[in-house]
Amino acid sequence: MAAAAAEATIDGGGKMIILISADGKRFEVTEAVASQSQLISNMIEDDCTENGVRLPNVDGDILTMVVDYCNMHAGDAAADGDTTKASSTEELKKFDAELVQALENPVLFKLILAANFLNIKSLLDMTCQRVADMMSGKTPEQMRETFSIENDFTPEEEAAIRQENAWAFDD
Amino acid sequence: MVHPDDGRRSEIVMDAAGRSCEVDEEDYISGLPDDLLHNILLRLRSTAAAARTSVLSRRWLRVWAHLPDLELGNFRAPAAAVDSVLDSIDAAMAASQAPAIDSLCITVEKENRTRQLPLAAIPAHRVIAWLRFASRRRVRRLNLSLPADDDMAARAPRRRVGGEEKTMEALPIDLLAMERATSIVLDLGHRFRLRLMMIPPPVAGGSGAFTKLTALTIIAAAVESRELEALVSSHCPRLERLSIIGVKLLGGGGAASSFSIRSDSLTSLYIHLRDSGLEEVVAPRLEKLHASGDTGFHVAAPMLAEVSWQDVHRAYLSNGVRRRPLKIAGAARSLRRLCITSPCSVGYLLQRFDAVDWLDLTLAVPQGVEAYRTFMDDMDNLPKCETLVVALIAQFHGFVPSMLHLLRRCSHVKKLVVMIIEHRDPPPLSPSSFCSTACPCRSPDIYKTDGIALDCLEEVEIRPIGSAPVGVVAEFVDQIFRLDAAMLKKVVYQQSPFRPDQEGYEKVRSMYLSNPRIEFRQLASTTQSKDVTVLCSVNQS
Repeated sequence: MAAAAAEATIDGGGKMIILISADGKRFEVTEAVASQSQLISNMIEDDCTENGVRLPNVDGDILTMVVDYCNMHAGDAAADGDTTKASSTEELKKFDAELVQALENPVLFKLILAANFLNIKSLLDMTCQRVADMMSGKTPEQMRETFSIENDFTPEEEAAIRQENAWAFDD
Repeated sequence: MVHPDDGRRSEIVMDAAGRSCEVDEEDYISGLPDDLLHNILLRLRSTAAAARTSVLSRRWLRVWAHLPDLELGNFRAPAAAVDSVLDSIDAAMAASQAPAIDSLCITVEKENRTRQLPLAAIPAHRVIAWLRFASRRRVRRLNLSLPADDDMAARAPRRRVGGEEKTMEALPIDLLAMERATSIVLDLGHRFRLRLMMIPPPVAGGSGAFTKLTALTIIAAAVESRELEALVSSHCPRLERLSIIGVKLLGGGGAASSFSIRSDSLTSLYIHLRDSGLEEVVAPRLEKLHASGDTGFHVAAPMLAEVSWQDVHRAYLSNGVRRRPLKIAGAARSLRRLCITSPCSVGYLLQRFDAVDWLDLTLAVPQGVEAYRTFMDDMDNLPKCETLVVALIAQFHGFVPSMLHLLRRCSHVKKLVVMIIEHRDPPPLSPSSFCSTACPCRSPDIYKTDGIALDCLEEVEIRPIGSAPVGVVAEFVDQIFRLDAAMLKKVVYQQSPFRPDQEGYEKVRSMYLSNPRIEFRQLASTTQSKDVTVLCSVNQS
């Protein structure tokens, strides 16, 4: 099987597998691209990707982004020793920065859930970091506003919690 | 698990200009499962910041309290009182509900680098309670960092001022058992004595106090040398990396505080000790040894591949410093890397190894005829090396002769990096103020380059650090081109970012501008070069 995969790689991309989103959209990607998802990588190892991989937790629009991300990052592991790597690393960083900056409330969190479900660590790190950056330096009021969190405490309850965690609010 | 798609709702509202726009008012973040919220909160790098999310809503009330990593302390506001920082650390520990902590990081920082905290500002009972917490919550990684005690800086040059040992001994902190811990870093700011004797020995085959520990760093503490010996040698069977930095060793029971380190698992040892009684290191797997401070010891390490013998007190500038020598037994006669910045043991170390891939020497040409001869004799045993990095103090006598002497002995070198360091003392009026006319550095023979064949030399890098005298630099560049080096492709002249000597740079540049083999570089101040960085700290110390 290793030999077959190597052969396929030579004529441009390796064995293909089909990913199917919750809303039935189909994405054809190489095994190399798909294996960045630890979940799919395990499925490939267990030989159960023949009839396509159904991803009932991931919508088509989110899966489009995930597939884009994986296509961009597919070279990561393979490009070692490549002299053009430095420039492509720069490009990747730019791609990632632009992607993550553009993410807004609903899409960002759907992407986090997808990265978590598919187990793509780099994408999960990047998206969670984006949320942390959005929280950082904000007061609780500003956080509620940023993430549309409804304050379900009474003013008395909130005061009591602030009192209980006074140490965290001191500085 | 609540999917954020559930109950999704958006509203079409009018903005100020009367256009309709979609505003998504759904709270998606609160729908994330706890482990993802933990992933996010841990990236705030502050448990206090994470705890402030407790007031967001009921969903968030206890999310932070189950975080597996605690990052405590850190002065935020410069005016913050130490007491409130210590209180906040205690309160955070009290509020944390995680039954097992993966990473506990406690940093009590100085308000600024110049002001330290008085000894009494951090009471021992606080630190004892933190270590008890670490032991009880079974931490995997512990990092405790305290600021230096304010008397310490003043005391440093006179180490044996009465009362110091007493102070430290009066405040013992016990390192309690942490059977899950893989990494422990303790910087006690010269405040406490770290007591290691309470640890019961590990049960054979079972779990013991420190059986999982692979990395241990102890900084600025007083430690009983016998306890340290017992901890490392008998209680840490998996210990791979040990760093002992600025530790004051106390001798127990009136005997001299001599001790040894024996470990079958140790691969890396970084040791900087004052007044040390370290006699011997026996470590069959040791690959990297970094030793600095004022003492040498015996090393039995057959796997040794990298040795760094440093002198952080700029003792390489003074010839008379007595250090106990370093002795290496059982190791092969070749190394990947050898770095020497101490004049003591130079001759021994250079002669000890036949081949070193990367040899890095920081030396001063010594004053006086005899010392100069010994220095030259030491250099006679230069091991075969591919890369040679030499940092020499320039304003002493014999810079160029010393370099030529060295080059005569390194016919295999492919890359040569020469750092010419400015000497900080006032420059001499003339070379005669350093040596007599009998000094070998004045012999015209020494400038003969006939015997020097550098068949492998491909690249030379010349880095004046600070304001190295332009005359010496220019003279050296000249000599390089006179050498018999058929493979030499490139000479890089690199201006250091630290106190750059613009005038000297321009002068040398104008002298050699027409030589296509010379490349001139001005480094930005954010250089990544390790060597320059090291010299920077030397220059600023």
